[in-house]
Amino acid sequence: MRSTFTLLAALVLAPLADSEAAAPDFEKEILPVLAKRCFECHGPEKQKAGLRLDSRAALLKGGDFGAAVVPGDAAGSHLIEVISSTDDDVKMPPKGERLSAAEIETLKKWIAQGAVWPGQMDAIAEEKISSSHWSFQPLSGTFTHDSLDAFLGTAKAPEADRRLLVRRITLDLTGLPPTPEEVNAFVEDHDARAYEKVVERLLASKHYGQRWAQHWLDVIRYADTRGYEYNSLRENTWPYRDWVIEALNRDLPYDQFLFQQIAGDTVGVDPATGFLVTAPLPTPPEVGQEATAIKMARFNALDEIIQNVGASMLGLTVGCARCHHHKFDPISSKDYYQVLSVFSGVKYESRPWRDGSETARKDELNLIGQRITQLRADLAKFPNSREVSDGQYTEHFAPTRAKWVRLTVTATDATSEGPAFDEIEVWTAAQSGSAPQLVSLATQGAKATSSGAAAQLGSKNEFLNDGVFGEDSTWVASVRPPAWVQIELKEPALISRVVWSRDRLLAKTNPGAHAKRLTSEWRVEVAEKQGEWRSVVARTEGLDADAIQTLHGLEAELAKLRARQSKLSAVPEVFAGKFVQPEPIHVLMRGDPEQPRDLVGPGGLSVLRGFRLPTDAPEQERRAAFAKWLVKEAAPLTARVAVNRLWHHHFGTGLVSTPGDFGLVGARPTHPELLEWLATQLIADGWSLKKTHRRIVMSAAYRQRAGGLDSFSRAPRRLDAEAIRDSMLAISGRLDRTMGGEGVNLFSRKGAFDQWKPLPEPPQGANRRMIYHTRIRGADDGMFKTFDLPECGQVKDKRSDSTTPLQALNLLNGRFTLEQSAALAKRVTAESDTDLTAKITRAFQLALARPPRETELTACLAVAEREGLETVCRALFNSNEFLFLP
Amino acid sequence: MTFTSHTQHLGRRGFLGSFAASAGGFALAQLLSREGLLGAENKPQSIRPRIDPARPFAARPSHFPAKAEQVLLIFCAGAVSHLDTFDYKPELYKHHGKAPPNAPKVTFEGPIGNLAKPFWDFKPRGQSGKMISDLVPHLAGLADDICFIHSLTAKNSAHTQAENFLSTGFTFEGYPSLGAWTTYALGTLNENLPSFVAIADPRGRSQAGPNNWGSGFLPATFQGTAFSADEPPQNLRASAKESASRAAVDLLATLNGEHLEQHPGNTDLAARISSYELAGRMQSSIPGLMDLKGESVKTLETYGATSSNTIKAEYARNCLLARRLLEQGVRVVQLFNGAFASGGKLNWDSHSNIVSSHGTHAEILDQPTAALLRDLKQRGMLDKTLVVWCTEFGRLPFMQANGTGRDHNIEGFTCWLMGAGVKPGISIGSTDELGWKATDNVKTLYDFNATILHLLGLDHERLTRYFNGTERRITDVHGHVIQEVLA
Repeated sequence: MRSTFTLLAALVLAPLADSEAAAPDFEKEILPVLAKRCFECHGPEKQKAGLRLDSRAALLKGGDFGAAVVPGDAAGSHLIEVISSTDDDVKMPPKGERLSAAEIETLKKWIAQGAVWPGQMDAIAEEKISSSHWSFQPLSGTFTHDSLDAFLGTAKAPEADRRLLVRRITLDLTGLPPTPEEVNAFVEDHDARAYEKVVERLLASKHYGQRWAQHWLDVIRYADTRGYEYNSLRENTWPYRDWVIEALNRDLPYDQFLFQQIAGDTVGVDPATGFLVTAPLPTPPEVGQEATAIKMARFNALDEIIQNVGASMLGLTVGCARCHHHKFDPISSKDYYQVLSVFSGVKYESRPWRDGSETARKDELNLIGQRITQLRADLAKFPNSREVSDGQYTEHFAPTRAKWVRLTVTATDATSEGPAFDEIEVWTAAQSGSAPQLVSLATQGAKATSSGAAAQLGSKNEFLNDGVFGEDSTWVASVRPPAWVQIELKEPALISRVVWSRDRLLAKTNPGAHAKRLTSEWRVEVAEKQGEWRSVVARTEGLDADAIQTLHGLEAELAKLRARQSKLSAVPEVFAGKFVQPEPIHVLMRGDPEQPRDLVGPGGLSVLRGFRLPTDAPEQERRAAFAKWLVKEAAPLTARVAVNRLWHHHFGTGLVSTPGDFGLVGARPTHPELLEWLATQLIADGWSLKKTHRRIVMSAAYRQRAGGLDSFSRAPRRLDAEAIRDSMLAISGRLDRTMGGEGVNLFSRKGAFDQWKPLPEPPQGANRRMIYHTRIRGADDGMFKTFDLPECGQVKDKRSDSTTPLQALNLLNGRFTLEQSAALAKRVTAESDTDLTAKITRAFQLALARPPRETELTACLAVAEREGLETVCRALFNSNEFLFLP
Repeated sequence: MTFTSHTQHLGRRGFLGSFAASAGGFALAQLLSREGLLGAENKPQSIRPRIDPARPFAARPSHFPAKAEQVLLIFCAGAVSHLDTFDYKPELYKHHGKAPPNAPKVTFEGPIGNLAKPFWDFKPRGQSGKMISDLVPHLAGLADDICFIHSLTAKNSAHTQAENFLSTGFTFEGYPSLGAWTTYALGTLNENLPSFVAIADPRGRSQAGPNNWGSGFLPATFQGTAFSADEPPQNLRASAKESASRAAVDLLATLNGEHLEQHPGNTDLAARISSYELAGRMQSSIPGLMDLKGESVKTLETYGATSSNTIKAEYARNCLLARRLLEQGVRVVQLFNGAFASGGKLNWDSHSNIVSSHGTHAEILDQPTAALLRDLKQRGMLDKTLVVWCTEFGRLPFMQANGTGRDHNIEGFTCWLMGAGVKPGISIGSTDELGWKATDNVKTLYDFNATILHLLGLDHERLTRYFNGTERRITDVHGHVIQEVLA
């Protein structure tokens, strides 16, 4: 591998190299060979693999795969390697006549002697990447208009009917339909600001963030499982989803929105970096044990991050530069690996979540700690007391001499399963000045026996007193309760405490996780002479009623506080990437980790005046610098991409119809000046997205009726899966509006692999908005997958909106539709007069924001009388008017 | 370096604006203008299917005339050992029990063991004398009809990624499957049935499951429809009363009709109305197709549908369903044999106990599949049906350290073709003498997919769709039609 240093050294040393051998004649022996064999593909016309060979500077600079020529080092020069190779994938020229052995020898000699190119010895290759492509230019500051409609220029159709308009804006901004009351209020509001008031209400609604977060999550294929073979759940992904919703709802300025997703950890916002790790990823067993495969998998994982950043923030397919310079856009392989270096310390793992509760938690823990100390002191006054917390049990009793201690469990939380302990401990009583001693370890000569350890689970008696905690060293009873364990001490001792636990390691990291095989009824007996058992847990012997009450009260409070203590002590985690100082990153020839070339440091894209950091820059600094660059130097592009994305969702097609590709292959803006103006305004507004929404939806262009006159003659377009499902629930009155928190999983997983099946009965919370459903990659809910729900594999800048007979079958016959139809029928029956006409009218108002027309009413009445009102509702939920954004 | 030279192509956009709009809501003109750009790089021009939104499944012309109009994809999930079935390696008998030369210490699943001869005897078959093992005696009887490709290579040793690669041309998730590409290009021959049916194995879905019949970035219209002989497509019927369902459909037609009058000529709305009509026709045609009562006892027996091995019997019914679907003009039928990874219990993934594991799966595969292929042949259906038998990769000539199973082998394995447009009774390419790495006439799965498309009259380089920055195709930037296959 060649470093910059050796390249420089070679340059310096080259003129001193061997000058005795006859130097090849450059004009006669070198240039003609290069011209004849190479220039066709690597000259002024074409630069395959980013390489040209028609100047010395270009030879030294090289192409995708690094320098073509290293002066003074023929063997180390890529040019010599390829012209000498017989490998079909490597050899040059790839077709036609090869260079003769003599020609190769002459070239070698020429390079060995310093690759002297007369007149060009001081030239250096132009390093700067520039482009005149529109999206890379600074934003123009001056505009011919100052309102959106003025830019569009052409005549607009009249404003849409008010009922349609309020339905459009409500569905568009919140993904839910307006209520009949909201429709009426708007229809009857004669204030000139009536529409504006609706817009303000909707932008302030919590449902706005839920709707628009999904658009963002689509692009970066957010889901809650790992994908591929195991496709198991990723824990704690949801805080990122909640963060996006919340950020949009409070109109977090878009520059900060981007910054925090790249480097939120630098400003104390942990969930935001969940952005980096949304891609599906094979687990290590799926990658296999071959070293090359493991290395490749790591680069694939990093590439996924670059794809997220490219598609969502930059509107560029940066990933295309992984194996060669981007075929169309001014992005070099070096650029790619510089960006990769920025993210090369990101691991797809969880990290502690500083959720802002740290101080409060610490304070409460202090208080709890003090109280627990007090409680223990109070309990110590009783001959017997017990402490139970998170699968750990302590019995205190009056000091007694014993050689044998036996714990018999007579019941567990699940009667069908025997108990399990990771350890049982016997402690001596404190004696004049000396602290209690643990005396039950095998290493101390104690011996553990039991009613039987479950050998098929790998369990054995030795685990009881090996001093090792956790699942891997757990004794599991071979029988149902009653089951017993026994410790025989090396010699009799004065003991006063027995402690046993289910899994102390897990209790520490994940309190409350062990709900199985917990001890619920037990007795503790001791013996000084073999076989002479006596109970030491004579709980209330000799106590009066008050004392018993006090004892139980103290124990209960202690148990409660201990539970609270372990809950507070466990630091919450968020799946938002774990950051480690990365290994050096090299440009990889053809994207192959086995072929590293130049070492690169972190940096931004050259064409957008990308920053550069040293190769050993601290990990966090890399992402912070990149995030800053995104919203400073790259701001013209990121702002254009942002406003276009909003436009895309408002109008169904962006001003740039390829929202994830603003490069040369992407579409050009249909209204360039308007896009520039909107982007400029976004920045001027302090990057407020809500202001941009307002600017768009307040326009006459947005408000015109469908089938208008200009190029935005918006046709009705089909709602997406989420809007259909959420709307059906809102209309049927079943929508659960609970916000945030862990997702609701509508699937269960059979076996170890990708076999997610819909639950036979919808779980609690199934009627929450779809964004709160656990998103299982590849799972088919039997209903909405056919409605172009993204499979969350690749980054996706827009969804298709296809029409298929399977959609028809699902929506017509699916259980969800039948249930919501019945619910809607019930709702309108409860909310209307007994008159069937009133009920049907109410159903229309709820579903379509209007009363039925006469002909519709007649048809509906006939069906309702014959087949029930729910059949009318079923037709409404399938109607084009319901399914299409007007 | 500057990249300004690219921008000159953009001038071509101007005069391409007059083309009709495409179905996907993406202006065709824009797509074509991209081709202009690509064209400047001497790439073949893409051919866009002209999809009528109201009839997305209408048959569309192929790129060039071809014999095959339909395709049956038989996919054996978990990786069938080519060494124990179709790729005869006499040298393995000689070297049995020896350490493999120049082998890595570990392969996909871990440390390696010694070379192992085939676990079933090979015999010459048919006129061609092709050596095929006793593991698949029924299929062996078709040797003279089959075109074997012994020198295939894949790209990733993990099942899911390898299934993705075989079915979509990419190891990653989210790319369209071969069936989706095919129906996107060609539509189907019977619009009253789904254009692309994926018949799952009775034991469950294969490892990459729906990726094998997904539509990726193509419209969901071209997703495969999953059903099997014993499990109808979901929601074909409602749990509501039949009369209520009919009333709902009639009322829907009234509502949609009035709505359409307010949006005259709107193709999206019209297309949705047609989709309900098509759904209605599927409701009446699919149950009849799934009803095997009309099949004679002899047929059922020939297929193995009466076997006491219930999995084999169900797979055999799936084979019968496949024939019936093809008969009715379904464009692509994907038939799965083998489910997900399960230590070789439910699919061909025989990391240990290969004798019992492969034995179990071959018993299920062999008779029914061979019966299906003979049936197709007898009915003359192979004249227009291409049959593809495939598996995601092969297995290694040496054992794993456990001494009873073979690990994954992506460097050389066998798949085969037969039927329309395929030269019968030949073998193409070969692996080394141990059957480890393809050495002669090495082919990739890109080549394999390019060949399948070619046999269907489609040019893999021109069947593309713009997604995430470039024109995507199932062969990425690779693939050459395997000419020797073509009859």
